Amino acid sequence: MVVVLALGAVALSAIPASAQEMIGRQVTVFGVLATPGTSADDPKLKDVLPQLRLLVPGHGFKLLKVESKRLVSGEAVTCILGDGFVAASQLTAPIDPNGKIQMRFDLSFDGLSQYQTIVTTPPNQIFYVNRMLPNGERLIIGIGAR
Amino acid sequence: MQDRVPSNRDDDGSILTLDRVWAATRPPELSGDEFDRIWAGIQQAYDRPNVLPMIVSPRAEWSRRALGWVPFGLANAAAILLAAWVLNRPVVDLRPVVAQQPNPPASASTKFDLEPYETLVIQIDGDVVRDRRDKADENLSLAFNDVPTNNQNDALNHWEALSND
Repeated sequence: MVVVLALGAVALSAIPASAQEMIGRQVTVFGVLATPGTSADDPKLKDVLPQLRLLVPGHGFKLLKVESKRLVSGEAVTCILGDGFVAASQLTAPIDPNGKIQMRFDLSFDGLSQYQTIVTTPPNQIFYVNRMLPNGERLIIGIGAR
Repeated sequence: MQDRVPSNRDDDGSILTLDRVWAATRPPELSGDEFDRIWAGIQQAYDRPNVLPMIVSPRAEWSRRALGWVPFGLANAAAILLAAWVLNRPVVDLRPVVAQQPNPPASASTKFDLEPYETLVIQIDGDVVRDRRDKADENLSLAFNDVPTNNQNDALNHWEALSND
């Protein structure tokens, strides 16, 4: 098993950088508004409510926006969440020697970047940014790629 | 005793004096033709009164026109004031309070390298940024265990489908 993984890593590392740049990834960014003390949920979210409720218990959820695009290295998908918030994810490496995807995430408000991070993740895994809002609500942003 | 004879003369002679004054100053009697001429003039003046024509001087005409521009000018001034007020009025942020964040948290240049089945949650509370990493097979808190990450029917599929709505 270890040998297979090692061979895989060697094979991936052998992929020329120019070829890696041509590898496409479907990158998805979504935003959900979580309101405390309510059970009113957006019907569109019914299939993912169990996950959202475990992520932010005791909240009602409203879908703000979802954007999903197939990107090559250097491209980004931007999700305008409304009220001045914009989440963007740039594909910086479609595949690394471990088979992971690297993305640069940026959350901005009114054109000013508030938070940036670089996340290297296996495909099909969503990571979240959970931002508290002044009125007690929370802005949940999910990012995933495959 | 001798009776007093009626006389038009007073003892002091005043009536006679008045008579003489009246005789000397009274206007001449109008003849019938003269009376008719004067009366006809009165009648004519009554029927067609002389009205002084109002001659509008150039200056008065200018004033009248200027007066006509006053409402137009006032309307324009009001429009300009309204436009200035609209452009410079204090902006009331009608957006929900959720978006009003005067002090955004500082940007952080962090890197995360996730393992398979590991869920990352970056929590931003004001200026405090914390990250939580849960392995689905160790901590079921995010319930990704019941949604296999390599299954095409995973949550990512759901979100991609929503993006097409």
